[in-house]
Amino acid sequence: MAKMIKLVSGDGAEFEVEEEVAFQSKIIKDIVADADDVIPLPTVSSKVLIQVIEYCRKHAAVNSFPLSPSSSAAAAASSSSSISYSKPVSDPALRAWDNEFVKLNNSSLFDIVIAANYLDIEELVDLVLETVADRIKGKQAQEIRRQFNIENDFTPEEEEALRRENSWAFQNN
Amino acid sequence: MEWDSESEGSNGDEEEGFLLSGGSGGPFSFAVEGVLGPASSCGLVVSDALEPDHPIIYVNRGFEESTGYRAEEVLGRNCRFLQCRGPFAQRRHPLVDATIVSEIRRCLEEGIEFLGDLLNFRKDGSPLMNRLQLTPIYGDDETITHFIGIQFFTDTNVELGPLLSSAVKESARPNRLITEHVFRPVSLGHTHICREFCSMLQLSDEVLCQKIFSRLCPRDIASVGSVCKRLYQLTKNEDIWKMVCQNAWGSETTRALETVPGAKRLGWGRLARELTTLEAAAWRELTVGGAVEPSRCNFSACAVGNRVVLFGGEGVNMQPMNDTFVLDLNSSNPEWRHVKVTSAPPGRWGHTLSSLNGSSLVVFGGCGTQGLLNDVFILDLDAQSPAWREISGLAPPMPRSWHSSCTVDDTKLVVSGGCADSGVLLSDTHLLDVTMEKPIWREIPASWTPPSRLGHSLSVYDGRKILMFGGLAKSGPLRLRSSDVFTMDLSEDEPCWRCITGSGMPGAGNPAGIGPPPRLDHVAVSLPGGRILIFGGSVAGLHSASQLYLLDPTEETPTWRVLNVPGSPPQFAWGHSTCVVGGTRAIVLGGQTGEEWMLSELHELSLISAIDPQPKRCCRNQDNQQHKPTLPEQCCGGELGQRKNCSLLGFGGATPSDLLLQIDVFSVEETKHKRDKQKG
Repeated sequence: MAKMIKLVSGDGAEFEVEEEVAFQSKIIKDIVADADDVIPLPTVSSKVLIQVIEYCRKHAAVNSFPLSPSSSAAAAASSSSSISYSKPVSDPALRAWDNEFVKLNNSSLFDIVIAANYLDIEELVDLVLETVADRIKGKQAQEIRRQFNIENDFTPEEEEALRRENSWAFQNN
Repeated sequence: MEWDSESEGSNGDEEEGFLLSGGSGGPFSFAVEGVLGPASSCGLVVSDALEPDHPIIYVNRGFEESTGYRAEEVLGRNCRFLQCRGPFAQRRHPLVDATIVSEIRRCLEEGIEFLGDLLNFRKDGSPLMNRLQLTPIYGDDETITHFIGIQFFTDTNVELGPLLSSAVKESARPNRLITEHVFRPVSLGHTHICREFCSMLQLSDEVLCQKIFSRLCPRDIASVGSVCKRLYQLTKNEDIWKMVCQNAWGSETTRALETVPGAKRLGWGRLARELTTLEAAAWRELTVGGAVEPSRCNFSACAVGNRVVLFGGEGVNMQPMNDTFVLDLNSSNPEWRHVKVTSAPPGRWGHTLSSLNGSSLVVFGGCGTQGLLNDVFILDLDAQSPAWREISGLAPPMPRSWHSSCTVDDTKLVVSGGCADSGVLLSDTHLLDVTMEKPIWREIPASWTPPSRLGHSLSVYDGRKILMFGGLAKSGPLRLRSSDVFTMDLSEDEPCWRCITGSGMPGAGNPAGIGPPPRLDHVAVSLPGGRILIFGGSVAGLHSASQLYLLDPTEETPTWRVLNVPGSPPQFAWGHSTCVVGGTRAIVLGGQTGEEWMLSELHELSLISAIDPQPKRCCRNQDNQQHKPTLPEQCCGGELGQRKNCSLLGFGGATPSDLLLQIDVFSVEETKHKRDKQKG
């Protein structure tokens, strides 16, 4: 039976997870080393903790097999051919799962990145921030404001000057 | 102590309004609802001043909603728990201002009113700024019986703290972990009252820059900078622009750009803009000293940093030359110098010269005295005693001339097409990794290849992709000038040629728009960001060879665009050669109709606004008067609202809406002015 760790969310709910899942968080890994199996996480709500655990569970399963069949095939192929070049190996199925995982509204995403930062789960932080960057790409300033609820604190004169200065940003090249 | 729940002046909501009868002072009422505004953003707390440690005896719904703590959780406790981050923390968070806390204590002891801002935390640990007003309530005998706390809670723009901060990595108990986090509260008095707060601005500057901005391209950064003041400030940072440029264009390109004299003064932000919009592109004339003698045509030129290197060529008697010349554009008086090399390859023309990493160049193929060649020679320009050394690659391609070549990853020479000994046109593509111990040529197998051709161009874009354009191509029994575009991604497992756009039959519609007229021996410049600029060459029909065309092969549907630039372009003919210096200018050597083989008058297509210190390099009239600036010295980075005389206005009065596709009236006038000057 895998060793279980108990995580307690900010609103008091308890979650028992396998050790390898919880260890996706470097913080938890360090704490447990101190022989503490019950870990209160007062700053993480249940809703967010559930999502984070889901991510960790999926990635723990992948990380325990560092050379998945697809990745080793790609590695072998790139070394034998001198024409094609090796590129970062990423499991496309996991990538697809990640993309589905981050189909959340912005405030949920930020809740997750705050929790992931607190728990030191680097990959999850990167995944969320990458998604945020994707939501910025190709957008003009007004769309970005709308997307992220950012207040426009420029005066009309400043805005006009900015529009001239940065007009090249939204010109079709 | 009891009080009436009857309220005066409020709208009768019993929970929110109550009356306290205070001793001789008469009734003392609160119309809470009216005074405090929407209940959801402010709290009301009443504590018992007669009990030890002032326990809470009442909190309103606004308090519950703002803090996340329910009434039953907090009754009987002192209010100070709000200064701890979350219900499990044992002590006050270090970023709560201790002086404020002392001040509160003092006011409570002296029985006077307190008003101030204090950092508090919700039950879930998120930070809250509490504008707190504490008022003592007196009983019958003028002793204080209660304290009323009115709280305006606002979300604060405190930051999460740096990612992966080393402090957090220490093995620690959870409640200590909480206090390790670094918050940076904004100045007190910040009234950002907004229920649907912006999560993105909660992130720290570091996170925003390194994790989000770093993934955006220059245009996106410019958009982001227009969103709000904080983001504007962030994106004004030169380091961010440099990082973004590096990510968008590759580190090799940005390293080359750093050596360009004018680039530092422009700054990365301006550089990104100019290389994206090409608004500052202009033709200039360059006069240099020295001479390339004996004179020749059909040589090859290539840049190493800011030095132009020329090799070989066809002499006056059609003899193949093998001497090497260098022109240092960094020097204050650039002049052609013959490079003394200890060994030189056999003479040739119709060969290719490409740059490798560091200061090396590689020559391949061409037509020599004994016929066509397929040898490879490398020169390190910065070696102690520069020498051409031969690279014997196994399985070399067929000897050829008028092929095209490019360098991928700065180390792999790619050669394609050309003309073989029997006059046959070729269509094969070969790759040689010159850094290998024993280099081996590899032919890139492709199930389908573009029609064989010579005089075409091969450019590298977007990492390891190559783009082939134009040339004299086999078309049935004929050889016709082509304007086809083919690309290949060398990082794929099985690279294959793809046709992007083609000439088609005369009159046929081209989905890519009006493209360049078919040509060979033209110039193809790889711009940062993946676009290709085409001009020059031997063009079919009566079209001008100096018209510039732009194509972005990374677009969904790549479309040709015309680029109008001011200045006078060279008179293209044949036998010229062009090389790109520092990624920002294309130097055209020769190019007249048989004269001017000394190469002392050069034409340069400059892509960025350069501040040229040399008068003889720029186009000024005789009395050095400043007409409309072709060199926008007054171009400044500018603060908001202070832009003046920027190159945008200097080049034809462009309005933002038509930067590239403008009819450049100004440039026509200026060109005419220059021509008149030359005649006069």
